[in-house]
Amino acid sequence: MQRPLSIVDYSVCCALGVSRQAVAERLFAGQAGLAPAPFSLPFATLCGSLPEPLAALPSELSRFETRQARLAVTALAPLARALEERIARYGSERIAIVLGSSNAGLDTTEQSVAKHTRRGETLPASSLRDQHAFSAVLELLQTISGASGPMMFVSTACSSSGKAFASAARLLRAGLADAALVGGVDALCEMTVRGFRSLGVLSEGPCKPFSIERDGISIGEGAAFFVLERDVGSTEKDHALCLLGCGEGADAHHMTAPHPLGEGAERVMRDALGQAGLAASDIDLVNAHGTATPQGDVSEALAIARTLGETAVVSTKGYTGHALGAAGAVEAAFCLLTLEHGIAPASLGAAPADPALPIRILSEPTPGEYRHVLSNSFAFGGSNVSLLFGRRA
Amino acid sequence: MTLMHVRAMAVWTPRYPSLDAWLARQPIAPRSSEPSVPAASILGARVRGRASVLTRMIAEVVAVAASDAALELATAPLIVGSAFGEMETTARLLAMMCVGDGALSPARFQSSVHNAASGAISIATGNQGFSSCITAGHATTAALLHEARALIAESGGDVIVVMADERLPSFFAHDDGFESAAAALVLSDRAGAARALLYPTERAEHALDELASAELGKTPVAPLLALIDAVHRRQERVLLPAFGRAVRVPLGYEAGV
Repeated sequence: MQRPLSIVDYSVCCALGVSRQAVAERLFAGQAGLAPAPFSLPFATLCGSLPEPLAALPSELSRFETRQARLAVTALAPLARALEERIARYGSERIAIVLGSSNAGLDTTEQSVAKHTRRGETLPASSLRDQHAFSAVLELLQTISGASGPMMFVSTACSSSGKAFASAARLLRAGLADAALVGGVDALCEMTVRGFRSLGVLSEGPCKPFSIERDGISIGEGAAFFVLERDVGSTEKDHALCLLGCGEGADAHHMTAPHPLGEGAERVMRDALGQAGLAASDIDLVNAHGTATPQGDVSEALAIARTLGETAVVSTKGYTGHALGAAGAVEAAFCLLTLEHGIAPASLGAAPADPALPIRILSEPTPGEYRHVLSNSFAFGGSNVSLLFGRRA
Repeated sequence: MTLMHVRAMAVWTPRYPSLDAWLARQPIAPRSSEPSVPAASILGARVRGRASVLTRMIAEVVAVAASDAALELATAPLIVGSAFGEMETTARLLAMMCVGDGALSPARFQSSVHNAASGAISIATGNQGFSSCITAGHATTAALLHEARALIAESGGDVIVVMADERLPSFFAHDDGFESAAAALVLSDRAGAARALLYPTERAEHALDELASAELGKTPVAPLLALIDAVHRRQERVLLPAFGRAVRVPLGYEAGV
């Protein structure tokens, strides 16, 4: 069993809004954020892009300009004070930055490559370093926040930002940092939308996780950042929200298809419970990966049923689409909103539920006493992660 | 603070296709020989045939390092680092988007993710345990050491750490061009048969400038190659880049190592 880690503050921006308040209002009101794709495609699909324009980067940081960077800076802003306080308390070198992303600056790269291909325009050498690479956002956030401890992106496709929590937790518990900016960011890209279409798993309408009518995923974007801190002295009393456990593992089965019985998913959920020292009966809600693919939802439902029995389950992909590498972080924020507000969102799109799925899906927003929420993220390569969040009494 | 022992090392580049070739700086072919590819036999023929150069390089050094340390690939934790990931595959997908209706190859798309290699290795070896893929540009080696040290502190035992990047697509080459390279370490909290001891990273007081002029100095793998050189030469420290500054990794050598 591991000691909990305090979540000092957090931010989220996604298809539901660019502030915690806006996101909470729409999430608990059951309002979807999906809309037609913001770029031209030769097929129909809905995407979860941000509902308002993102501010350009300050001129002195314009070399980092990508949609990914704008998302990251938007998510960082609400946490400025919490980070300043940690830097003052521990020193900048004791503050880690651990984020998850699948796409990095691909949103800008695909535009640049199109110009290169169609017009022969060459890409400036700086675009690789300052825009395309994952490290660009790290450098940008280091510059803005002043944090200068261990820095990395975890990039394991759709489990990226879930695994970023696990990596950050290890750094803190190993004493390599005292606090961490942790989370995930991924901007909507044409290549990923087309890629999921090529796999035959992209829905033309809104995705419907756990529904008998589900026919594939919707793609989204977003960012969510958290200030994570080792419990030291009074902080345990000051911060009610905490990360209790993480489970990580692999299916070792197939590059894109989950294990049909969800064996890998079950292992990481059990590991998260074990790290937290909790039993299945302690879990009040599961935020499922729930992407609405026919195969993926069955696999996860079987795993949840074996691990957690009748525990209530929601998927929030129907609100935001699948934010890919940012999904784990965005949905972690949803879990914290549930813990704070005492209400679980409806599993949007689930009705009519698939009777073959042996789980209890919440079809309506459900008030309650939520103390422990488990959140799953699964990815290409069979990469699985499960996070357990809690609210102290 | 958790100590880390280096139990095994491996290198593969098109010109230096083994640790010995690298340490002796004995290239086997001229630079123009790329793209040559390693055997990567752990992937199996079907997967290997469609795997990228990057995935094959990673699989190769993982297999060599694990064998050298007598590690079982079905259970060994694996951390893969890459500054740019599957760039060649991504470039092909981006080019496809510019042709006709822009339809993409599903096989290439599923292989374009940063963790394509760790996924392929996990599937090929049946490893259901820990694997991850991290990136931090030229600071990825420093990040790998942090991640490995934290993992060993949590779980103990051995971990395979890999750093690899492939030659960039032509539209990116320009001044940032570099050769493909991959390197791996087996790190452990066990001292037995270790080559060296890696002490915790410290902040260096001076900037790092010697890497750029070193052999293969422009590849993001250069810092791990420098660490491997330092261990081989029994240096007391090695400097690694870390976002506008350098960090120092003190090295120790126990009696009999």
